[in-house]
Amino acid sequence: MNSNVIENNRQKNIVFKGIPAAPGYVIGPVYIFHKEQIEIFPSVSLNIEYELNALEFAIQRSKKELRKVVDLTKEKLDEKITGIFEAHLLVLEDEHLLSAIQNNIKNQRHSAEYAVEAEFNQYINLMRNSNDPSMIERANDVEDIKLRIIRNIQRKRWESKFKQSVIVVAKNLTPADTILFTRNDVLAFVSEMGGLTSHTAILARALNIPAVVGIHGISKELHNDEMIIVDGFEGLIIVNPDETVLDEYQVKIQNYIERKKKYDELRNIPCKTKDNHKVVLLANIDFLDEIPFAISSGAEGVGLYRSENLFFQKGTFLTETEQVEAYLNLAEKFYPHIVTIRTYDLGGDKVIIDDYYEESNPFLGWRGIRLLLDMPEVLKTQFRAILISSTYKNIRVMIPMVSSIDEIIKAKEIFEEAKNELRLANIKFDEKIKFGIMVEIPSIVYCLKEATKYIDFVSVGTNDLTQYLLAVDRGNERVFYSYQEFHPALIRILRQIIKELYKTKVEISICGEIASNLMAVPLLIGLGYNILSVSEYLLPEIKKLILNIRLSECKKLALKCLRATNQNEIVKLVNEFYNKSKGENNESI
Amino acid sequence: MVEKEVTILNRAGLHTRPAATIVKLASKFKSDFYIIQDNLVVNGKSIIGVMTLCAEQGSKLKLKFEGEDEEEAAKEIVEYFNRGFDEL
Repeated sequence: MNSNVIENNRQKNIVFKGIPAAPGYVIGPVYIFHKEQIEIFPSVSLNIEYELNALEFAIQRSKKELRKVVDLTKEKLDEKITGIFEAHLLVLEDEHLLSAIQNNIKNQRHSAEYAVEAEFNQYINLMRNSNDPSMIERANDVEDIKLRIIRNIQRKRWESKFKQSVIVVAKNLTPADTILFTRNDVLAFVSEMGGLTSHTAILARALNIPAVVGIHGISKELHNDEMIIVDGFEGLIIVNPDETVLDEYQVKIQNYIERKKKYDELRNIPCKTKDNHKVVLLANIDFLDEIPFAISSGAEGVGLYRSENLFFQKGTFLTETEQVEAYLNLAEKFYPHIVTIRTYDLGGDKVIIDDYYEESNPFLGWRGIRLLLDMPEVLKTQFRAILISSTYKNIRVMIPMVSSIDEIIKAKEIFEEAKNELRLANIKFDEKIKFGIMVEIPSIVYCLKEATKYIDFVSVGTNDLTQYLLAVDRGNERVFYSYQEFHPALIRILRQIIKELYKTKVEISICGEIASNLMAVPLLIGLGYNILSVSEYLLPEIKKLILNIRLSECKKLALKCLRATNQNEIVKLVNEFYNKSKGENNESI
Repeated sequence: MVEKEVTILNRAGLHTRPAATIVKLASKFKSDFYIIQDNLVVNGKSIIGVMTLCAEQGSKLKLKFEGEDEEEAAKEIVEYFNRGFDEL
């Protein structure tokens, strides 16, 4: 069949949905990768010597092939990933296993390939019997080693080289295939098998090659050389796109490239100060369409996902299923990085409940966790949805506007109820899911030591913390000048939070606007904040700044600011520090 | 014979990379080395054996060493477990 015929018969814009395994957009021609099926039958051999030699030859040949994979991996990726293949190489040197295969040939007079099949399968079956997805992944890896040996016994080869730039489409891609393909110009990977946690997905992400996995039957649906769009953010394949869709994706690609260029140079540089102090930069996310940019900005996870935006978009509370869809989307796209989901933070200036009773002081009224505890069913549904979405083990949950330990205990009771319901229904979730609170009301700062019993992490929200500490409504124009982001009391309470949690296992991050303020960043680091959750578009700038400062100097700055008596002094100090760092930055360019 | 109980400390559990390191460490010693999880006993010097263990964070394993250098082997391997496979 030639491709023109296909083109004419094809419907426009056929969409296949899979799992987004590695981000990026690509338009290009399909290359279908078929692996010859290897069949093994139980067979008796008359020549034991011949079989043993064939086994030895195949083992040596397989080692040589895998060494090539290890070398390629070392060249393109880091030590950790190379370790996976080095372990595979160790399997070929496993004396325990090899002597079992040899004995199988000698004692049962099996052919070499059948002996390999039988001995490997004992282990593979044990791995497959486990329900753990990572064990099934491991079984696939070991199966790949087995098939490699058998193919070499049969003296066959697999083709992994081609000339043009293509989108590789396959039923199954092993990690070794994925690496070997990179000797060509691969635009994207598409496969039927595999999930987000598969080694192939991990490799594709590390190689920066877009990938969509888990589309059943796709290798039979597509034809060589036909043009498709691969959307590695949404996990979509669009076959035979029409002009409108093509234009739409050209714009997406253009926007993405422009932003990526800015981000790329910085993304893979570890975020450390000049004196080697690691700072983790996370992203604040409001809407799901910010995800691609947050990922390419180099964010090491999501420090704050404001789930109330789902409520505002829909105008009412979401069902469990609707929420799971949104949270899973985040978990999958940021995997393996952590995603912090904050339960609905409604009330205050964010109220749209129908029978809402007008409060004279909404910011001191029914909002945050208070409101949620009064609607336990809403909170439980949200907890259930978050738990159901936690199977990748990269989601954690956080409650807003906590003012007392009692609120934490009550919320956790509902959280435990949600867990129990899921256990009874046999629905899996991350049993070790982390639970945290927002620190944004001054009262909780002075109860943090006691709170450590109930929480795994805190995130400091400076906007509300400032307004409650200074008793200033930041929405009120008349007193707006009194809302001081650098008020000495705020700097001191930020230091107090670090002190209260010193030497506990509770992780501290900061997600308020102050963390996205370039001038404030050195001060925050000096105060002891090592995890900043910031706006995605500012993240590269913040990272650039961090690369240019020293922890020792940030500490000195913090000490000076802690002694300051008014906001002006502090602003002057942070400005001076910032301009000095910027100056050094210019020199180094 | 030396028997020790260890707990998996790192978040990712006993995955492929630490499995390889355990086998490499064990093969430096002459002693036999077995890892026991519930009813499953695997040879700690066989990578494919160690890879069949499904040990996530928090799971407990028994280690058995037998041979002339069992004390030294136990010390080094237990230490590696206690360091959370250097992933903490």
